[in-house]
Amino acid sequence: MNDAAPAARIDANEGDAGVSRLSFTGRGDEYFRIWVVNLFLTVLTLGIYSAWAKVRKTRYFWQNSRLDGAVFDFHGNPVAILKGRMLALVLVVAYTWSFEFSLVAGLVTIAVLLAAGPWLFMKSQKFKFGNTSFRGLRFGFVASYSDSVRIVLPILVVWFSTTVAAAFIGEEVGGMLGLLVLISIGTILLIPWMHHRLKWFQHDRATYGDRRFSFEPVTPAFYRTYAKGVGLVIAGALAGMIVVAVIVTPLVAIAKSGAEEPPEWLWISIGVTYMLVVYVFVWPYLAARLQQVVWASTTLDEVRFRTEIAAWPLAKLVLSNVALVLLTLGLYWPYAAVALARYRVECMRVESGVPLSAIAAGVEAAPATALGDAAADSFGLDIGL
Amino acid sequence: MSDIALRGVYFDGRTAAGRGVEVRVAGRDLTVVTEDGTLDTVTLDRERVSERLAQAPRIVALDHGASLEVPDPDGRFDRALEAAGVYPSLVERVQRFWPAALASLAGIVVLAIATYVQGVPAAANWLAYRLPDEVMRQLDRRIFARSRLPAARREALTRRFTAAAAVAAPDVPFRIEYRTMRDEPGVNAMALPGGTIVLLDGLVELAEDDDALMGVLAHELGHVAHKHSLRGLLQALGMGALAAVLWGDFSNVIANVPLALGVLRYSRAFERDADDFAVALLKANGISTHPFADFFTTLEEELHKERGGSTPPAFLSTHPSSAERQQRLRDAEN
Repeated sequence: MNDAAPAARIDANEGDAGVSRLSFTGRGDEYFRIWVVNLFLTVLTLGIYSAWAKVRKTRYFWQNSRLDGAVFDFHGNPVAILKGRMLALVLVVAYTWSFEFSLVAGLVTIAVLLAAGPWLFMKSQKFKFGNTSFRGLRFGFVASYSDSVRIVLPILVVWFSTTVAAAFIGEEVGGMLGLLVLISIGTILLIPWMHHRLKWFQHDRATYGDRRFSFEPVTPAFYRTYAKGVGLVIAGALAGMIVVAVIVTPLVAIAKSGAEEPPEWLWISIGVTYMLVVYVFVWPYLAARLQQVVWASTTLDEVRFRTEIAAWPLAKLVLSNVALVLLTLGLYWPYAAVALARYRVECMRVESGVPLSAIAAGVEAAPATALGDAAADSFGLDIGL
Repeated sequence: MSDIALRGVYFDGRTAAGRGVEVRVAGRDLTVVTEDGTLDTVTLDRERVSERLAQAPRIVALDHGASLEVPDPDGRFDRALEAAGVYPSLVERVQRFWPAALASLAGIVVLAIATYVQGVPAAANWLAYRLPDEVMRQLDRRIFARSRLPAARREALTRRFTAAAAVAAPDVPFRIEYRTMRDEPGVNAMALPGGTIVLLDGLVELAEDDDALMGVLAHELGHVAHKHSLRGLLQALGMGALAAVLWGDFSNVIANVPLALGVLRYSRAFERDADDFAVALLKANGISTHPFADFFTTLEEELHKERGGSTPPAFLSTHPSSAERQQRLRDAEN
């Protein structure tokens, strides 16, 4: 089996023949033009074009991701994405406003979300995987509604528990406040469990051609990583307090000497700075470590995966991206997206022991079921996970 | 129309195996050729061929799920496609052409400004007249308690203001509710969506002159007449949505900066509108605006006394400054 394309030789595997790297060929200046046109048309059409923009963007990133000489592709139908987005909008609006109207309306909305949530998640995964292809074969997501209910419903119940409890308790009974706090803490403690459960569902039900991915559950590793992330936040908060004491308080004193109260912008800028610091340092840590854990636990038959993404380089990249986006009033954003994609894609390693093309020959298309094919095309919903 | 031959990789869509092939384009026909002979022939059209990107291969969809990846570093394939009448779409051409892309950028800026200046207030206005309210019930449950003012005092105030409002603004439906905060009298007054004006005990007790309270109520009725509470909320939402579109999924942090600025600007305009409304109402009833203007000073002093405690009264709300508003009120008198 010979991939005769010149490109296949360019990024032939260096060193270990059993390990393949992915490469990313997207360019910031090229994506800038795609991004800016997408944005213009989206604004011009009051958001309608965003579905087409999503397809262009996704195709750009997939077609520039290369593994063993072949690229990925995306086949999503913009109309399906538009339908998904309109439904999502309705649900978000209903959720935001329902409790303003009445307790009953709020609870009905949550009941609808609980029933629809697993279905929506399943549909969105089927759409995402089912419309992604590599070497002429589609990925897929095999799960029924009942599978999705079993996995996703407990997560939704935990997620909504605080809202529901708050709605019932209100603030009439002071003593019940303790219960509310307890439920909130419980929810927070379950976040790693929820995140792991969704990743597990995604990676264990994904397919490529007639092969199915599998995922070895690693809940403790998720908890360890999150614990360290929380430690970073606490360390950051302490550092922040020192900064406030040493730098900000004198600044406030200076600002105060002129006016009678510290100007609002001072507090806003302190808050924004702090959130940026968390975004630049804590998010990269969590993202990098969790990606390592997730990919190390994922297999596709005899093929194993690994990512060499690391917290510190990712943090540096995010820091420079954020700084440049701010300095350019957002114009650097597409360059930042490309830089981040390049880093993440090029960190991926596929360990197959033998050349991938040898394995590829044995992978066949999934047996066509009318229902499965329709599902991939009917309904597109982005759930950013 | 020149015939060309390129190298490509063919995927049959049945297995993941790829085959190195020769791709020939002649006229509108694309033919896939191996050493064993012709694999496939299709008629080219725009639907079949992926858009041209700087580094990615062109992907050609063949029939029956088969596909072709054709690297095109020197643009030969692209020229052959154009010769075959397979032109890029308008969007694609704009994306490739820097000046057109930059024109899109200018278009975004223009649209953003137009939306901010015209679209957001107009849309908010349209919606504000169509949304019902349940806010009072929530506030009663959460922060308010029953007013401790004598019933006769409350009725007298309501009667006097109702008569005054009937003169100046007979079509604005409203209802005055007297409340106090749970743990303090609450020096405040506010207009809620749906025409409810809430007057807190602390404010009534602080006012030495009922004419000042008429001014406060008239100011709040101004908010009701202009549907400010809902418009403010909807404008904030609209700004948020606009910011989200502009900044994409980058960060809510950045999205909220223009949002905060936008809300600030609107609230300033709202206060001025409400003041103008109050002046018109007072004047129509022959009530002097001076007690209302002086009341700002009383309020500021009260505020300073309990500095650190409660937030400034909603109808003072710091923008524009009290001094500026007092001046406007006094000017209106003359």
